[in-house]
Amino acid sequence: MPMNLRNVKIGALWAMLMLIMHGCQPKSQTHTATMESAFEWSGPLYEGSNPAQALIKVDLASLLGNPVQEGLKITKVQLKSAELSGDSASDLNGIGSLVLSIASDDPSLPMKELAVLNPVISASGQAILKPSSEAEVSDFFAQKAFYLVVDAGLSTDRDQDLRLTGKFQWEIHYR
Amino acid sequence: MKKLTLFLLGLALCMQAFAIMPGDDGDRLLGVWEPSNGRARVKVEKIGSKYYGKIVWLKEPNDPKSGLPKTDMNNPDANLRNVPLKGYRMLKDFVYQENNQWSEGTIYDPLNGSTYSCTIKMTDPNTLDIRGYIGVSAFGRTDVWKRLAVKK
Repeated sequence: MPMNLRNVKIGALWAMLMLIMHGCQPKSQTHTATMESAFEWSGPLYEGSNPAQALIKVDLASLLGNPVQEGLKITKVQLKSAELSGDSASDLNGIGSLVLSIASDDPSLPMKELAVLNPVISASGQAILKPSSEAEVSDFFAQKAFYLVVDAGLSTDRDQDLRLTGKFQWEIHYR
Repeated sequence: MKKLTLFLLGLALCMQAFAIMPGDDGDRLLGVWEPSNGRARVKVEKIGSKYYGKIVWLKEPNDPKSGLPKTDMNNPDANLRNVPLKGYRMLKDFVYQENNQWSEGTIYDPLNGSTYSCTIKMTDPNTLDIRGYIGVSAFGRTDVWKRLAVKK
């Protein structure tokens, strides 16, 4: 019996210690950041998948909307929404599908698909992609820069250039 | 004087030869390739400093049941099962090492939704040994891919 009481005491001490340590950790915060970038394809473009890439330089201060404090750690980043639109409503004509991916020059970071729209309904001139529920990209935001890649799946050949503007919402968890 | 002229001529020829050499050895992987089963064609492109290969042609582009273009039905992420298979990047993240080898990449098998570690070795300008494996390279399988537009 005395042994059991001793175990309970030790357990309680551990629990208190864990509580104190948890209390000392910086509080986790969440911020939703919006990013815009342009994707350009030079025509003529042929039927099938045509990629365009944008180099995104990571600027945490601008993403989080305040100066970055020393020791800040990004713990989780997920794409919450992705929207692509042309200068005119007809820019999406002939595009059958749109796939958004993220890539980095860092060999340890594999490319990930982030969102897809298939088929594209071009009438509105705006494509709202369905984001992946699983893709977690905090490692990319820990880099100085990464690439966003849009693959436009054309259903027919196209003579003209194509330019789409992407608007992306990221949910950033940090502490 | 004759020797100097010959030297300058030789130097100019050497400089010309260097000028037409490709800037990046790894770029020899760029192009369209066909796996040994002939069921697909894969175009290798470069994004940043890494190489990626996407499906640009399928022998059977449509799903036999629905009649619609095939999509990545076996993707573990349900939200991405609508990604068209034609255009899908099945080779990802290859980094050129040296001696005609690219590594650090993966190969995706759309038939079962599995991704394997992969290395590529160019045995001649028109032939690739693509080795997919799990864990260590010894436990894997090599497929021979041929370049579609043969380089002489």
